Amino acid sequence: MKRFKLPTAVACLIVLGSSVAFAAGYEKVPDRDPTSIAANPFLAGAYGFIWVALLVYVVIVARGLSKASNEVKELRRKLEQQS
Amino acid sequence: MLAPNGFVKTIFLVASKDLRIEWRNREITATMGFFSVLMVLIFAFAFVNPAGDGLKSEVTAGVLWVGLLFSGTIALARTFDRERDLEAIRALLLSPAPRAAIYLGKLLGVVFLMLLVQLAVTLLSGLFFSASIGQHAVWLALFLGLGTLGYAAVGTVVSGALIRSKSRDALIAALLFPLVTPLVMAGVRGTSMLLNPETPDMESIVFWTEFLVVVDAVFLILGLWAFEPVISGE
Amino acid sequence: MVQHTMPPTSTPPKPATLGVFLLGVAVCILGYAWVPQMIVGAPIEMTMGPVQKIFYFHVPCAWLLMLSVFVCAGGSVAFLFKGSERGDRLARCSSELAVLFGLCVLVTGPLWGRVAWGVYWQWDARLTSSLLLWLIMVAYLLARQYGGPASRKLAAALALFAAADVPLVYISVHIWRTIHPSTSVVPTLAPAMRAVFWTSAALFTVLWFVLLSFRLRLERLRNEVDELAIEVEDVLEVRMETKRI
Repeated sequence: MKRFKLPTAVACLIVLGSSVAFAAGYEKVPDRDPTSIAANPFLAGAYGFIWVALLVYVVIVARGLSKASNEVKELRRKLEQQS
Repeated sequence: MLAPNGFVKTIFLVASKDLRIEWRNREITATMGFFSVLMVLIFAFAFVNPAGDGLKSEVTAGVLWVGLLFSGTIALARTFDRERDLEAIRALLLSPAPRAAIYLGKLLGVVFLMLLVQLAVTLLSGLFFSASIGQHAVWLALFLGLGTLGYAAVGTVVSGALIRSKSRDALIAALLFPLVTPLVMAGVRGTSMLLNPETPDMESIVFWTEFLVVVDAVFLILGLWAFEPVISGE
Repeated sequence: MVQHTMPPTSTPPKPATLGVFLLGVAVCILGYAWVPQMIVGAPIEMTMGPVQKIFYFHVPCAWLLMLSVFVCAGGSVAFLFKGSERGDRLARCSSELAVLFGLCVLVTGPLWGRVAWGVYWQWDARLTSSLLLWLIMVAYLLARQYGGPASRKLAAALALFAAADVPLVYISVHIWRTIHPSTSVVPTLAPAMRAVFWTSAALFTVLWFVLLSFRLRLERLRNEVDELAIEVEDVLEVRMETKRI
């Protein structure tokens, strides 16, 4: 446990430092009219992208789960046959 | 546990072993050196206008640091390739040498080779790009030295872990370059200020130097922790 | 007679755990239907117009990217220094979520930027450090996939370096130039916007937990497949030895 005191302390400092860093402010771009471009396609595109990405990920994981479950059943069946 | 002078002796033993092998065939120095020269030439063809003045200090600084990254990748890959031949790494790990000492010894060897090549790249850049490298030579050497140390600190861990990997050559760069970005940012900022023929902003240069020292310290500490479990393999 | 012991099974989830998981899934599905309506109904921001509403899902995705990275680093520390297999599984699964949510941040941010700033990309501290963090997480997955025999430990070391790297990248680019909206936007939101924002953030966080537990289940099953495959090979080998004798 003693081995981890220094690494844990350093890790906490890093997390603290990054939180403080992220809380720092920015400057805004001056003289820019955000309403000059139609916003709705970008808004819809952004939201749509997130849900498509999440859906694709869920489908990939679900297919992996189904394949792994089938492999487990098959291997157990083989083991039981051998014994 | 080794006495402190035993630990330091081990570091120098490992480093001198690598450098002695390198001195005998000069393979890494020759390939790294030639590659770096060609790289500076390619950048010269890409950026320099033959009719015009030398390059801006920002571009020269970029060339120096890209050279550091690319040549360093070759040094890191080849240094550990030698350990893989005839399973020399196994002999090294079976010895009573502490892993931290092996890490620092390897690091020292890589840093020495990289600095040698970096010297050639800097001189060539000064020649081809009309860069004022002599203006603040000590600061420039400090920047490049700190950058080399930080890069090698991470690179030694990564290339040690990839010693038995088939995709080693492609993966070293792919894994290292995102990690060393703060080094490159700080290094290029500071170096471009140093190469500025007008009076450089010394306050910023000192800041970037301090930043590089912090980055190097973080990378060295993490490298010392991570090297042992990583080199021991699965 | 060949004697062998069955390897430990990945036990099906307990009813309470399964219940919590299904509740989480239900919350996410409801959220998927409800949050868009909340976002459409939220007041339009004065200076940025309707495009500001990207903020309601862009910021939660950025937080979840950071959360995933730190969970990955935590799991990696446990695996690297204590040999914890659970830590390794957690690190791998959360690294995938980091890449997923990072991608969402890097797509939605430039879409917002195109309208707000006129350009898709600016080299400011927040964007650059998000991009670097995402690239490091992609490098983590590459290391796991192609890193050879020590790939798990190499990737764990990468996660450690990544966690330390992020604040350093941020600070270096922040000194370099900044253009991103202030983080103090969140605490100073109008009450109507605050409700929508925190609801969206809470739902995304529930979604993160659901996805992580879903992915962890797959990882445990894959480990079980590997163990069973080794067991089957061992049994076959012993049988062949017995026949030869």
